[in-house]
Amino acid sequence: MTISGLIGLAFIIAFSGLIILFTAAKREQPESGLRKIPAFSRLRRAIGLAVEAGSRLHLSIGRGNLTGPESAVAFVGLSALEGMIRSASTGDNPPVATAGDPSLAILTRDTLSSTYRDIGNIEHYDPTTGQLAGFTPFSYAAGTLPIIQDEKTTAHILIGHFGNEVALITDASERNGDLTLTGTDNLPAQAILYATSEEPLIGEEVYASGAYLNAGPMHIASLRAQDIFRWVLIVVIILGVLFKLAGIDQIFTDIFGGLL
Amino acid sequence: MEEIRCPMCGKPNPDHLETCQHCQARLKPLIISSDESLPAEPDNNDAGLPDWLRSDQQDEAPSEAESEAESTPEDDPADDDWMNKLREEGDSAPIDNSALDESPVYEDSEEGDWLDRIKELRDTDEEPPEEDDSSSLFDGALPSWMSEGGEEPALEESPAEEDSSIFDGALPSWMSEKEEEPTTDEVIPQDEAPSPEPGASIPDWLAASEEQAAELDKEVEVDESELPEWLAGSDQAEPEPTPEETPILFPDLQEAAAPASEELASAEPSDDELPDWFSTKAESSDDSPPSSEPADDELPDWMTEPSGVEAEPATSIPESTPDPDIELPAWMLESAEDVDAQPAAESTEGEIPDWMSGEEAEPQVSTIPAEPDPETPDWLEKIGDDAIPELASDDLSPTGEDIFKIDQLTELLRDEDDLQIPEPEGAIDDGLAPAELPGWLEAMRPVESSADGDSTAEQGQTEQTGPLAGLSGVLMAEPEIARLKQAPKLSSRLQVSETQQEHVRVFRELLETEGQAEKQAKPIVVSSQGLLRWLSAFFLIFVIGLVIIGETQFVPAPPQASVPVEVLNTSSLINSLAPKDPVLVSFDFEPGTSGEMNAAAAAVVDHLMIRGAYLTLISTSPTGPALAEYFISTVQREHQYTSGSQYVNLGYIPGGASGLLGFVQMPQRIKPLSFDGFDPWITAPLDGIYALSDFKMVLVITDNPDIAQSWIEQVEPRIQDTPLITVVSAQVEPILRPFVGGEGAQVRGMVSGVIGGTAYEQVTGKDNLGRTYWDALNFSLMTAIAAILIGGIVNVFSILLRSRNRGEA
Amino acid sequence: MNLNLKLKSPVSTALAIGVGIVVLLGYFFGNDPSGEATTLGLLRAFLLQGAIVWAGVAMLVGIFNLASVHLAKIRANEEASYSFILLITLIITLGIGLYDIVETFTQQEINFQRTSWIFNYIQLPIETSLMAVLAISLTYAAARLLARRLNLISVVFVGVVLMLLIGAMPQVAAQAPILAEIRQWILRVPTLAGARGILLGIALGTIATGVRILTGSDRPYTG
Repeated sequence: MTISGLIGLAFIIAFSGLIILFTAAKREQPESGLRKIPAFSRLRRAIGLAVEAGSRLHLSIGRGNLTGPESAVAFVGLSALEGMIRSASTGDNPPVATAGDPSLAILTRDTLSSTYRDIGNIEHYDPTTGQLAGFTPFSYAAGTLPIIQDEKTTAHILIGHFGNEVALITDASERNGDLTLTGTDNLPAQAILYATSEEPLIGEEVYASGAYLNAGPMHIASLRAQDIFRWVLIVVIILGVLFKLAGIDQIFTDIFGGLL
Repeated sequence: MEEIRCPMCGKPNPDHLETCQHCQARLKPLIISSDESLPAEPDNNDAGLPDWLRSDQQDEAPSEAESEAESTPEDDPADDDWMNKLREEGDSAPIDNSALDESPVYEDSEEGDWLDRIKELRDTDEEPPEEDDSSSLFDGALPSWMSEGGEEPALEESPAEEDSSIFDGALPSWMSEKEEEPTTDEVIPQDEAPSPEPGASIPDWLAASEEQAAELDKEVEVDESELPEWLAGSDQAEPEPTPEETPILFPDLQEAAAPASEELASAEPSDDELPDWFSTKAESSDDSPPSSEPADDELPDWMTEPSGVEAEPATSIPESTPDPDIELPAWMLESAEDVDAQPAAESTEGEIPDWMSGEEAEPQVSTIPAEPDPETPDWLEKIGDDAIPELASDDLSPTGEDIFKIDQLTELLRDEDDLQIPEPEGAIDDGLAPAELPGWLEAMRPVESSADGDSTAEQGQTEQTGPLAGLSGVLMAEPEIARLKQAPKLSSRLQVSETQQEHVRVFRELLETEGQAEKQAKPIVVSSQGLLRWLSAFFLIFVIGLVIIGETQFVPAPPQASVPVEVLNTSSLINSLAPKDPVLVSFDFEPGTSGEMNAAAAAVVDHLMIRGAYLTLISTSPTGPALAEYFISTVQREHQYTSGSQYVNLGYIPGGASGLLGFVQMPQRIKPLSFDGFDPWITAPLDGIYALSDFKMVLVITDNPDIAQSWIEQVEPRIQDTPLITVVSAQVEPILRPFVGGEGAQVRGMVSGVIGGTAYEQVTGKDNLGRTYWDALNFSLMTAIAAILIGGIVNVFSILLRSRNRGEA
Repeated sequence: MNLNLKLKSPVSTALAIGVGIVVLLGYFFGNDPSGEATTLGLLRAFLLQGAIVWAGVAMLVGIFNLASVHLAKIRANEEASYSFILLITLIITLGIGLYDIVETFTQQEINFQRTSWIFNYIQLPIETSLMAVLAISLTYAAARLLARRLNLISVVFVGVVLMLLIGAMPQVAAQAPILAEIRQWILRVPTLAGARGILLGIALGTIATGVRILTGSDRPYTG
């Protein structure tokens, strides 16, 4: 094993330990300390309005591959879907979920059915509410447009991996007058969503969705762990810059060069 | 000094006294014209009543009239019930016509339905109709809660007792007290008065009830014995003060009104012919006081209060739509067939809850329209304004004369053979001699004061005839039966006010919209935004189309000096390749971006082909292999590369980054077959290739920064010295740039977008797709800049203008 | 210590956690110092192969999902025109593809011309057209951004967009080199720094999500 591998393993172990520690320590105050993100406030309001008005919520978890790194944000989208179903299960129209990847579509259906079963409302589960919109980015966007143009749907939550094609979805949503809340891990898509979405989640805010949607205490704990490691990375970067400026970075390269 | 005999105790008093010195009864009662008294107070009450209660009162009118219509003059036990109720109500409750006047039951459109049914009933069944028929006619008029009450079987078994119990429950305490006071002393003799001689002017149903009349006689005799002498005489004299006031509908009453003290005795024979409801009335009046007490307990406060108002407006059963499914008690079923000239209103009592009965009982004491209806028929007009209030109005109409459009009724009833409508004119001709009041009684009649409508309005109903004439708030001098009149026209529909209709509409809308998905209010799309969108699209398409179709090359290609270093590095690496060197090319872009990616990659792949490299095509995108085939066969068709000899398409690697990692580790196991379905590992491009490090170069063509990163993270570390170069979309460039560099960098060369592709063409010196798109790119960039600038300025100004207008507003 | 783990389906949860840990450890301990694959590495490779095959099968499942959803819409008569077109084209394309495959294997000659024709002349133009529409939408969105959010960040956003577009025009850059320099500076310093920072945050979020799945807190599966 290389030293970089060891660092990576240690990083993951430490991260897991912090999450577990925070989960055990902060169960009593699950939502304390979360800064206010307007997008999530509007999402909660949109869920409430949808339940009251009997309208429908649409959540898309994007087209990330389940076996790739972009699956992480898709899992966040699935957590948001679960929270939405629990909140909007009393509505007349159950939420509908779309995906641009077949494996994610399967998971979407699985999440829908298991959540409805958990809340004892399995009779409200409609298999067609979890669907694959398309295989390619633009076919996925084109397959999502009919759902956006459905008059029953009044809010769209796009949490997942998207590309440029997301602009077509948000544009259609804007023309329809619906609320659009978006979050993605794709940087070009983030730039597009900032200009086209009503409530964009910037940067890694999308990974906080579970914590803000009450998906569980571990989501909040993972946020705290991320903050800690963010500070660690900031310190490491600053130290690296200082070492570089001081010209002592070569020492580390000589010492660990063979191991890296 | 003249003496005035007290009308209450009969003892003489000095004539200057206002009240009796013995019993404190008023000696000189205020007489107020009934023309004004009747509607006034109910109106006042109405004003103070809530809308729903007003509606109840209005609704009662049709129900009462409806029950009248359903009665028949035939002698059947059911008559006892409703007559008893009639009498009780007549004794205790004033009638308010104001609400009835407002009721739309008299509208022609609504008269037809119920009357048609009546006709049908009578035509098809002269005998008492089936229960279902009667119920179908009537039940629908009752709401469910009323119908439930009407289903009590006890009414059929013991009508009289049940009636009294019904009233007991219905009467408020104040009314119970009133019932206790008058007893039969006052009520019974007055009841006798209109019916001394059953016959010509008395309807059949009344004349036929001789058996009941026999019972009534006994009651009357007993009652008379309890009366003071003067009162017994005056009671007989009260209905017929003058010939003008003689009731036209009941000429017999004129005889009964002969002013003699012994007329009471002379009336006794006629009492034999009275129906037995008189006797049951006595029972009920005796029974009612004790039973009314618990009824008061059952009434809520809000109901007790309006009930306490004497001049309560006439109410009606608040529903009139027939419902055949609801059963009615027997007495009501029987009355349903008696559709002719029955002063009903009581036939529904059995089904009316107690509180409602109480409401009904009140108004029937005093609500008679004083002024003749403009639609009053001729025969009624001839009676004169004086006569009607006293007999036809006060006494004969249980619900008030003006609640019906009499002209319509008479016209309607002209066809009704069974209806026993007294001949008014004949009655006048044959009429009874005008009753003469004794002098003392004439003197004490406060007729002069009857014109004082205001005081009457304040005091409620004013007695018009008899020794109590001029007294307000007294019980009715005549029974309901004496006020018999034509069957009213009824509406079978629910009568509701406009306010109620509005409430119903709002409530219905609320219920209807409850189960519907309500579309949230959506912001109005500003038309200028749509215009901006269309203008942007038009200019972009127009400019790009014009340039491409014209194949213009106005814009000079980028100079050699401006070619980026990474492009030059890429060119250098390709130049270092020997012919037939294996090169792995990844087509990881989507069909949508193929326009840009083809232009960016055309020069690079063309360079590879020029160098004679064998190409192995792979993709982590499902459409990648097809795009690769398209690229080789279309974009680079000039090189005539053939599959299996100069290039091989391995197809699609599922699984994203994991699949890519697996391909790096064990390429032959992951891709055993080519895109065309043959074994690629025996072909020339893959000859001697066992790992990715065996390739001389890895070229990644992608529009996705994540895929580029996957190649860098998963593949580059395992290909050792094999250089990794990329052709990427312009959007990927900023993200990939940290990986790009010279020797030792993870990405040794990079060509970015159409600009990079065109720059690469400048390096190789061969125009390709990049140069073809160059003009279009530049013009479209200018158009986009202009659109963003103009649109942004317009939007900013519109916002500022809007906020300014808002501020001014 | 109660972690509120979702252990309602212990078998599937344990299987998922076990596979995840094996793949993770196989990444670090997959090879011995000599470079040979260890047992953990082989096990990881086997699981990866399974994942790749499963991902391919998922494509097929996705097609059935797509077909079933639109078939249900047709049955429900719920704005089914698009669904009807989709199903018809799906059947036609599938039929032509099967025909090409059968012909290739029966004649022992590679012939996917019909399928390629469908791709080249139907799917490719459609998706490219959508990309063109996207270009218009993005242009409009940039122009409308100030109307949507009129604040300093939006003004900076639009300004940077214009600067990069202008700097990308070679003739302008040749006439005014400063614009090209500004563009390059924007791309290499603030854009790159911001992108790096965001990517670091995304990496942390990805790790956190992976840990939650490994510990069974997030369980996007049933069983």
